[in-house]
Amino acid sequence: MTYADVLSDRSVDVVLCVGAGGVGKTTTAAALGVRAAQLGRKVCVLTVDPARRLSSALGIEMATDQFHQPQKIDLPDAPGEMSIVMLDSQRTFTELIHTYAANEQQANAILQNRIFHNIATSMGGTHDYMAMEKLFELHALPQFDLVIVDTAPSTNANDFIEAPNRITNFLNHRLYKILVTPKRGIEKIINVAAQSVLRTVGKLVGASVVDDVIDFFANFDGMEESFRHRATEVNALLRAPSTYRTLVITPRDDVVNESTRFARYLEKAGLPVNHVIANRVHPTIDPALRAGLLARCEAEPQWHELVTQSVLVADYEAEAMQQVQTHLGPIPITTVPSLESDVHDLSGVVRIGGWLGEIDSKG
Amino acid sequence: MEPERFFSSSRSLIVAGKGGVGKSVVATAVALAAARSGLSVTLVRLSPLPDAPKPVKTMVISPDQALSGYLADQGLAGVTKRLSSSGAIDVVTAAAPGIRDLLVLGRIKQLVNKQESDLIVVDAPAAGHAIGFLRSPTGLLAATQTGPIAQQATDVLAMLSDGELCRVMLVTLAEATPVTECIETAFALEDELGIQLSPVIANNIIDAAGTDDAFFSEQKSDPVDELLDELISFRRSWFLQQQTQLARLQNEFPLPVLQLPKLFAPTMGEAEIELLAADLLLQLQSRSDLEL
Repeated sequence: MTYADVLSDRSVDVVLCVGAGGVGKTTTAAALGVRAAQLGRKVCVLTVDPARRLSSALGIEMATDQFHQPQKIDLPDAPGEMSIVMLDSQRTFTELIHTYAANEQQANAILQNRIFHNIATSMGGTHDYMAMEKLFELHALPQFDLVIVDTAPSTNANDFIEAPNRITNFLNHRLYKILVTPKRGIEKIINVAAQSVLRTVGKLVGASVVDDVIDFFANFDGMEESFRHRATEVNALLRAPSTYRTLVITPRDDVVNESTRFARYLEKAGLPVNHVIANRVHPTIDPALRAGLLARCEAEPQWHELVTQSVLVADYEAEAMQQVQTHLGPIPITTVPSLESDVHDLSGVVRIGGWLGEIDSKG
Repeated sequence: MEPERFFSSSRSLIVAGKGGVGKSVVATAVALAAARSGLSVTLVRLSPLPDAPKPVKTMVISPDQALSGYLADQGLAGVTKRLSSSGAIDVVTAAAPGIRDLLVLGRIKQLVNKQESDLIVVDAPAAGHAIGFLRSPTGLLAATQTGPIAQQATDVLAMLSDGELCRVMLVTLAEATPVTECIETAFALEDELGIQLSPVIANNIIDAAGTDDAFFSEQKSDPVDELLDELISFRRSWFLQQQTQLARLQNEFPLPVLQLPKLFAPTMGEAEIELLAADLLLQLQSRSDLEL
């Protein structure tokens, strides 16, 4: 199956790009968006590209806060449409608080608490969780029939999958309830432990911070259920048959090892990878021409180094791709060649988009 | 310049770069080069990766362990364990964001103070996160003015802004986006955090061998010639692109640039690390414009 088939399939309404850092996930997500628009889809690409470089390369010049809303990309000759959104996780979180708070007063009390600010900006998993939340929002919008999301580079699949649960568990923490309503038995033991943690935190960072923690949980009271419900819905969307999970790799030994581990973990969590995109593949050497090629550079030694290096690269990349098949089983793989110039503008993205859907191995 | 003098000018070197630029390999090669120049060197990793070749000592400091170790030191060992499974440990992180990173930097500062090694080389988190990592003491100081954490943050900041104790070495590829990010990171580190930078490493650099255009003028009908032509033209544009980006680094950037060669090997094992370290030492010897 080619990636063009995937993007043409109207039953696919979410494409999730996962993978290690530095493999070209953001560029791939944008290129898939371009290709989808060329195939007639109304697509929105959600990117976590923190440098916003891709957005400016795609020709969007605007104030920072406008990135948060979908911005249309001008793609001549494409029958569909493409928009792009930059994830602003603090803002997404703020909007969620406004949505679920009983009233303005509750929302403001939470938003002004420095603990909220800390969670929104620095807590592990918040960024992943808010990306999923934003995906859920965009997915519900009628103007798009496909959402492509580029996730933050995770080396740890666990962090990625657990992100919604981790944050909701945190927000749902018994700490506050335990502190204000001492119980008996096991809860009492936990209470003692919790008090002790808070006392220590107080000693480390000051009692006023602890007051903020307690205030934060007190203000959050009543919203936990909505958050948990939403996390359940988000989890269901990630696992839905209409979500196409794509692992982006480069054909390098270390990347393949890390990525296949990641993919197996995803599979265990009910999120099997549907497709692999291998970026930056160097020129391949046709086995039939190999002997002739090596003989040719025996005769003309100025190319000897270049040829032997090219053969070596082609061999170990082929080996890495073989490893992908071994670890992930029969899975469609789309290869994108390493372009002679690196991709940092719209024409580069369009060229990559051209490869996504042209060259494919059988799946 | 004498490599030993180069590597002796600071007590620690934090090697940072965006994902995929080969930062961990470069950090290992730098540590080995320093050791070969005659210094005793410890390589600090923040996640378990293969050890550096001897005589470099390798040490793993995991951010999670740094936090639980610290809490245990505060008399919370048992409680911490029980509560980390219920997520209460996140309460500590929420109250003091960046505390893990700060504690890792605190451990590095201890190593620097102990002077058991002449040089501590740190394999830092990937670039986006590297700024957060190095910013953690400033952030925590803003959140907490008193107490042991604030003290720790103050001490770490003093180390970070003292070029004789600590420098940051940025690693980049000679490609447009990584170079742009490298330049931006450099200015953020210097201007915002007052951190001194050592020369930048441009990694995976290829040479021009075999890319002269003589071959292109010939008529090609043979499939072997066609393939050879493809390989040459690919290599040639790859080379030219790298040269453009290296020129950009040199022109837009006040720091000296060292180059490490692209090694055509499936994995970066000890032999490859040795090659890179040897290359680095040769470059240092032939340059006079350097200072760690």
